[in-house]
Parts: sequence; structure tokens; C-alpha cells
Amino acid sequence: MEKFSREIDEKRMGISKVHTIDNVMERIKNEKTIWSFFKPVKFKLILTVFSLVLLIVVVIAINPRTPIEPITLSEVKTKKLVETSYMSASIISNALANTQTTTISFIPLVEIETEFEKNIDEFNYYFNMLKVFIDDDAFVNNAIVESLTNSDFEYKISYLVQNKEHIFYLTIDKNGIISGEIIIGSQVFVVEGNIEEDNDEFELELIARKNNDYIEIEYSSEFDDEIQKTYYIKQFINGVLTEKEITVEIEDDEVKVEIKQGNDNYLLEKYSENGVTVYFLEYEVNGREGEVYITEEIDAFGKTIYRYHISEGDLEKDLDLEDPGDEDDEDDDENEDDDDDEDLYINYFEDIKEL
Amino acid sequence: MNDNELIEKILSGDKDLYARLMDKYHNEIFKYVYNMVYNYNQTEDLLQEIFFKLYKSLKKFDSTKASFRTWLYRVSKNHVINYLKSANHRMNSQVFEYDDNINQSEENIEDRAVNDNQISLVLNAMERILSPKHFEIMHLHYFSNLTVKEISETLNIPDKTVYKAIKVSVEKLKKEVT
Repeated sequence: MEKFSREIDEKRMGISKVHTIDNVMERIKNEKTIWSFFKPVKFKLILTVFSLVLLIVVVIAINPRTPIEPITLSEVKTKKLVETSYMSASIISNALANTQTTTISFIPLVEIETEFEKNIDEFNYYFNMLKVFIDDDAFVNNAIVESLTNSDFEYKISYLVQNKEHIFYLTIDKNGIISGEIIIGSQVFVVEGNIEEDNDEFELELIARKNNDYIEIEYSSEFDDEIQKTYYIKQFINGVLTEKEITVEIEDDEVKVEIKQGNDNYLLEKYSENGVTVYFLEYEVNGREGEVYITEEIDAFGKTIYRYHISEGDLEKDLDLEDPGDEDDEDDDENEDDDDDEDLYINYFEDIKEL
Repeated sequence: MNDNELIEKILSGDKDLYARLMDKYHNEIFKYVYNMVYNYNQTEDLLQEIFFKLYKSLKKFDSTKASFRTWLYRVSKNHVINYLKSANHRMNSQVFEYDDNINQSEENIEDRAVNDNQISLVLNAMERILSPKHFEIMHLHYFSNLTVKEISETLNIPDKTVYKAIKVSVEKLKKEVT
């Protein structure tokens, strides 16, 4: 198929050019800048107004508390807040859980050969956390927003992710400044941040803190670009600062999640092949590149089993693992003696802590 | 003076130079927008909005990430798609055929109408059956002068994805319009 082109009247286009240039230049010239206010004639007036404003600010500051003027939460804002608060809280609670207890993957029957296996904890954690984005926006659809009256906060947003209730209490003032708390189970994170909207652009910054640890997430997108979400994450846990970037891209029936941290990166794609869901992971970890095909199947007991085919350099390997998000797992310690070399079974979900 | 130098000068206060940028890209963007909205007056209005919007965002332009041309297409694409989705467009589109056809008399109106109808048909099918992302890709592929590489730069996606999207979308469109 060739390119399409409607026949265009060159004369009309020429006239339009003159009109457009004149119109835009006129608007540019008439555009007010901050400096235009400081013309000498207006200076005295500005000075008076400024003094009055200063006086009002001082009076307000002396008064103990002034009510914050809240804004209305639109559907778009709610969606972003839910997604970003979920990411912040998941990362911070996971990071704290992992620093409090040693959580090394339990891979007893396998000689770890590939970088993927060495870093399976990390992959598994991201996979589990981002599955809500990969599968569908389920948690966004179940978010409930309530306006609060007798509370320190103006809104309560609650949503379920993998059967865990997340509650986000917040206030957003008219300048887009956010203050609030995220509660997951018994964990409480203090949250601050801001929202900025500018024509087509939307920026959201959220910082979730617990004691000295914090997660800072910056989300920025154009409204038209909803199919691609990028999060810049800075985490400071136990005195260690790490930065990462997570991009989620949804295109037709394909979903891609890219995670970059320093020189390491994972690119996970989900698509459907002959009716079977396939996850394809490309990674570069510690300078080694590899690929993993992951297919999901339901076993005879109704459990989701992920079959991994790993290729890294000359190494090729197959693993079967249970659903990382499956919380109904029985404790499989008793199965450790099952020496079945053909069908290696790895229980690596022990380290996925409750949020 | 290249685009980046012009932008640098505009940002440092020489606003009149913005007219040169508009002069350079007006016709290309005009054709792109007109192909989509099929109405001269609306195209002109949209172009004025696009160029003014672009001027206001000029300080955000990052020449290390994209060329000015692909950035211009990106802003135009977003603006036109928003417009096409808007109620304003739906109201205007009820009168556009009359509005434009009445102004063209000396040419072979029949041929032109067939061509225009085909384009409108494809455009309509694209909007209906393609995902928003594929719609954006196809819309740039068919109606702009951008190469695949430039489309990938405009949309900030890999070339491979653009090729794949075009292939899949063409198959879908063929089924739909033939």
C-alpha cells in the first residue's frame, strides 16, 4: 500500500501559511512574560500589591492552621496516584523486608549456572510486582475514592492488589502538593509529592518514607502517550542509594516491561502464541546477555506453573517454577528430598514477603 | 542556520526567527494535517494552534533526543488525534464535505472524490480497527513524509516495532477495506 495524499490546493496552502505565520507571531508578541509586569509605570502598583501579599502571608503564618484548599481527583489523577503509590509502597516494603531477613532463593537441586538464576530473586520480585501492569490494570479498576470530612486528609483511595488492601490517604492542594500516608497491612509509609499538569503533560512525583529509608518515584507522561508509562525510581534503603527506570508499554495485545538499573537491564514481553501466553525475557546482567522463554500452564492440581527455557551464551536450560504470586503455596520444605533431576522444581517464592 | 541554531537564538530572545521555522515546515505539516481532517479552515486553525503550542514548549525541546522535525510531527500528531477525538471535530465533520467540495470546481471532481473517499474510508477503518498505538504509527506512515526511522524517533519506539506494526496493520486493513 502506498502513501496517501489528498490533492491539495497550493494556493489555499500558501494563503494559510501567511495567515498562520502572522497569527502565531502576533500571539507570540502579545504573550505576557513575567518581565512585562515590571515596566516602570506598573512598578509602584506591583510594589504595593507585593507588600499587601507579604502582609497577608505574615498574618496567615501567625494563625495556627489554615484550611488547605483541596482539588478534585479526576479519573486520570486517581489512576496515576494508584499506580505510583502502589509502586512506591511495593518497592519500599519489599526492600525493607529484604533487609530485615535474609532471603536467598531456595534452589537446592540446581547448580546455578546462568546470571538469570543468580538474579532470579530480583526478576521474580519485579515480575510479581509488575504483573498487575502486564496482565491488566485490575488494581486500577477496583480503586475506590472517598472524600473525607473528619480526617487529616481529604481523600482515601483504596484498592486491592493480589488480594492485599492498599490504602492511600492524601490531600492535594490547589498547587498540586500531595501529602498523605500509604497503609498496607500494618505498615505505614508517610508520603509527600506533587502533581503537575501542563497542557498535554502530566508529571507526578511521590516520595514514600519509613524512618530514614525512602523511595522517590517520578512519573512523567504525555496524556496521549498513555500506552507507555515510565517511572524513574530512586531508593535509599539502609544508607544505599540505587536508581532504576521502569517502562511499561502496552501495544495491542503485547505488553513490554523494561527495567534498567545501572548497566543491568531486563526487557520482558508478554504476547500470545497459538493461544498460549508467552513471556519473553531478554536480559543483560553483570555483563552477560541471555534470553528466557516463559510459558504458563496449569498443572493437574490447578496451580500455575511457569516453564522457563533459559539461553545464556552456550548454556541452555529448562526450569519449571510455580506462580510467583501464588500465595496459597504449601510449605514445600518437605519436598526438598524429591530428587528428580529431570523435572527440577524450585521453590523460590519463600522470599516474596507479604507486603 | 540549522534548526537547532535557530531554536537557540529564538530562546535567547530573537523571537522573530520563529517565523523562519514556521515558513520551513508549514507546507509539510499542512499536508499532513489536511490529509487527516480534510478541511482547509480546520487545518489552518490546527496549524496555528500547533505552532503556537510548539513555541510555548520550545524550551523543553531536547535536540539530543529528537530532531525538531520529528518533534514537530509528534506534537502535530498528538494535537490532530486529540482534535479528531473531540466533540468539536465531530460537529464540524458533519459539514466538511459540503464545505470543501463546493470550493473545488474546475478539476476532475469525480476522480478526486473517489480518491478522497478512499482515503477517508481507510482512515475510518484505521481508527476503528487498529489499537491507538498502531493507529498513530499508520497515520504517520501514510500521511506524513516521515521514514520508518523518523517515525520511530517521533514516537520514541524502536524501528522494529514500527515495521512490525505496519505489517500487522496493513494486513488488518486489507481485510477490512477490500
